[in-house]
Amino acid sequence: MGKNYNIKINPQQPSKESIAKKMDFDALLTKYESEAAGGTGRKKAVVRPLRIRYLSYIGAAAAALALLVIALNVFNRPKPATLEARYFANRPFIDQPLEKAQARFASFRVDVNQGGVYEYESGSRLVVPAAAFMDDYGKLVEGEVEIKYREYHDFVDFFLSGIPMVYDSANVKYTMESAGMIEIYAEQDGRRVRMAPGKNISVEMISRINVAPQMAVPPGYNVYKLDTAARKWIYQGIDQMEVLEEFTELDLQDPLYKPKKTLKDQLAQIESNYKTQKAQLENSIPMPAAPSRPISPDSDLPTFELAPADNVPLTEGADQIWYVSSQNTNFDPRSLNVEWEDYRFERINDHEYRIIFTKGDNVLNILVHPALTGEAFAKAMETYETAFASYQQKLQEREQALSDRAEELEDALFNQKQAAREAYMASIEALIEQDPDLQHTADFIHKKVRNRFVADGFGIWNCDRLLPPLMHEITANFIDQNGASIENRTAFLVDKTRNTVHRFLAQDGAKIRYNSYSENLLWVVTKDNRLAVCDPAIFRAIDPDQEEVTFILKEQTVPPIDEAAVRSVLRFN
Amino acid sequence: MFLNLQLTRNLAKNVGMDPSKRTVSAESMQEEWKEIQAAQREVAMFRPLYNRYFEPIFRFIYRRTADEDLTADLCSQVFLKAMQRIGSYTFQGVPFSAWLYRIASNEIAQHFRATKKNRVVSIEDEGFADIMDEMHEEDNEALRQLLIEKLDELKDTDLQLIELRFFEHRPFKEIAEILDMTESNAKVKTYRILERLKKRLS
Repeated sequence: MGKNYNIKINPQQPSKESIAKKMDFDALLTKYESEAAGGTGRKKAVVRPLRIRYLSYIGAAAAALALLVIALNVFNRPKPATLEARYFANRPFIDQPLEKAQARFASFRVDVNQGGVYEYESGSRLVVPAAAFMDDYGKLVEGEVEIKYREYHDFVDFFLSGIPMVYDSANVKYTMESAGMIEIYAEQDGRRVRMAPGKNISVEMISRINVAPQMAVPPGYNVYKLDTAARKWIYQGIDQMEVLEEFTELDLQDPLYKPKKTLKDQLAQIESNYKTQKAQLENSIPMPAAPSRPISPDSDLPTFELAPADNVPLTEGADQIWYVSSQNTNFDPRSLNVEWEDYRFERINDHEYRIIFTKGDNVLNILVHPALTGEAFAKAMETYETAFASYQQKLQEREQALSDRAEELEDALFNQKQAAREAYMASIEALIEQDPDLQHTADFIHKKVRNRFVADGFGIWNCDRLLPPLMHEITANFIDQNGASIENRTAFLVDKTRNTVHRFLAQDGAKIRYNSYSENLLWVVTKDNRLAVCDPAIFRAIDPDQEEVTFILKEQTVPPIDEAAVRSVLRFN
Repeated sequence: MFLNLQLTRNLAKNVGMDPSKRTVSAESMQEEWKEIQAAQREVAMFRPLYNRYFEPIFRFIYRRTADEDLTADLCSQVFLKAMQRIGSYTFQGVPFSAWLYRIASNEIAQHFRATKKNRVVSIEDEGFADIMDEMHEEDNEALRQLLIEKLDELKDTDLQLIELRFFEHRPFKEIAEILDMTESNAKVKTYRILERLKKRLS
């Protein structure tokens, strides 16, 4: 037996039958219910005050719906799902709801012979290779092209873009939760150009994602490209995601601001301590100096001779003949014919010097190296190789010496962060116990991430993960503030914890799925481009056993003139 | 890098296991998510999840306690906590089992902290053989004894990696999900621990 662990060799394992005998879900359920009744467990459902307020609307709407259902049966109308499928099949695939409120493209001019690296206002970077563009005939484009680029990050962006956030896998539809989306194309003289075969643009998109607080690493996202012809997203590969900031957005109004801020500060302090210690560690063992490699004789280089003097360094076998280094730019051989008044050497390393000639105000700097003869060069190489082997050995020893300590620091970093997160979870659990509604705000923290992927064509690229349909389904009807029915409009629904927007056909008896554990925002765009928005409180007021609800959407008085106007309306309370 | 390349190559082989049988496909996770959502609405619907994961969680705990009654108690505690917290569980693209294993790990750690006893580490002959093979060491009794001594000196987080990988033969993907780290981080840490063990054995 060890002193830290009780190590057992080949312990007898319990049989399947013996384990099965220990299973008793009913007893567990009874225990759960007794603890819940005793107030130590999570409350099953919360009755909210707004429920009563809307009962009259719901009752009226339910009666109206009953009549409508009868009418529908009489006229044998298609089912809501069929109507919805037909409706969207007849809409543009990218269906921008408000033309005036579109995100603007940034523009980068690229010299096609050189390519380049371009940075977007969000901090995202595009690395464009040389010779990456061709025209419609497959001919490489010369000169300059203009890259147009924009990003979509949150539900308002997705809504305004009109881009569907649905992935179809073998006729099963999944909602796509995005870690950011880009749209990119290039043009020359107003004409679109294409990406040349084998070329691609490396994208490093900066975005923010929602992560459960107890998770250190972000969950896996994939990269998809929109195929507008086939009207679907195409899987491209795995999104290489890197966390840049652990905890980005904090809202002073958030009831959990204090514990979140504490966690954020702790994580920042842990990271800062780690960086300091890492730097101290690396400085604790200085880097060994690398020996310089002798420069081989090269008969093509200009040479000159200096008479032996005190200020001329002696190199064995060099015979005081010096090569003018090929690293000199704009060297004019005629300068060696000038009678200089003075000169001095500056040593760069054993094999390279800089000579500074002066005559009055004229100064000439030349990089030179001793012209070693064959035998002297071989000897110098031998010395160099011995020194280089020793240098490598020292380098390896340094790395070895650092590695164990660096690893300890990394482990400490990981453990300290984990402990901070656990302390956070413990602190908020107590608060949630007192007020279960706090769960909504406690569910997620925002992390700043960099998504790396390669775009081998122009179009719309999305870093996403797929969400299965939500479980809670309800029959919905939609009316405006005057009680008039809203039908045959595209409706948009957002769950606060998910970075996506779900769209469906607003019609009486529509079956909609929503997240009953989150805040939800629902709206439509009227025929005259005004926003009609449902108060999120209506979702909160839905009873868990309720099967039908009428959503009242309050129409804005004027159409939004830009994105900011849209944002001022579409927000959670 | 400080790694021994030979060691790295061999570790990449996935010793004696079929990862496809130990990892969960995206489709299965999404199917399971529906069951979880049902359990979120009505906790009695947790039953299929309980039936599916009781045995793996029981075995996971038993390897760390070697006591059937204690394991049954802790296992019951794990599922009770899972049911109490299911409302706040969110789909994060990792298997539900990873969440349960994490709760189980915490319960085990809490139990041994409270009782001030040493946690059990179960090692079978096969586990010895695998780890020796990875380190290119001959598997003999003397070296096994030495290895036990060296394992006993490891930090709990390091030992967990070795246990999950070599004694329980879990793929790195699953290990990463249980320990809440990236797959590459799990691999790198395991290689480093093996390097250290190898050095200490020689």
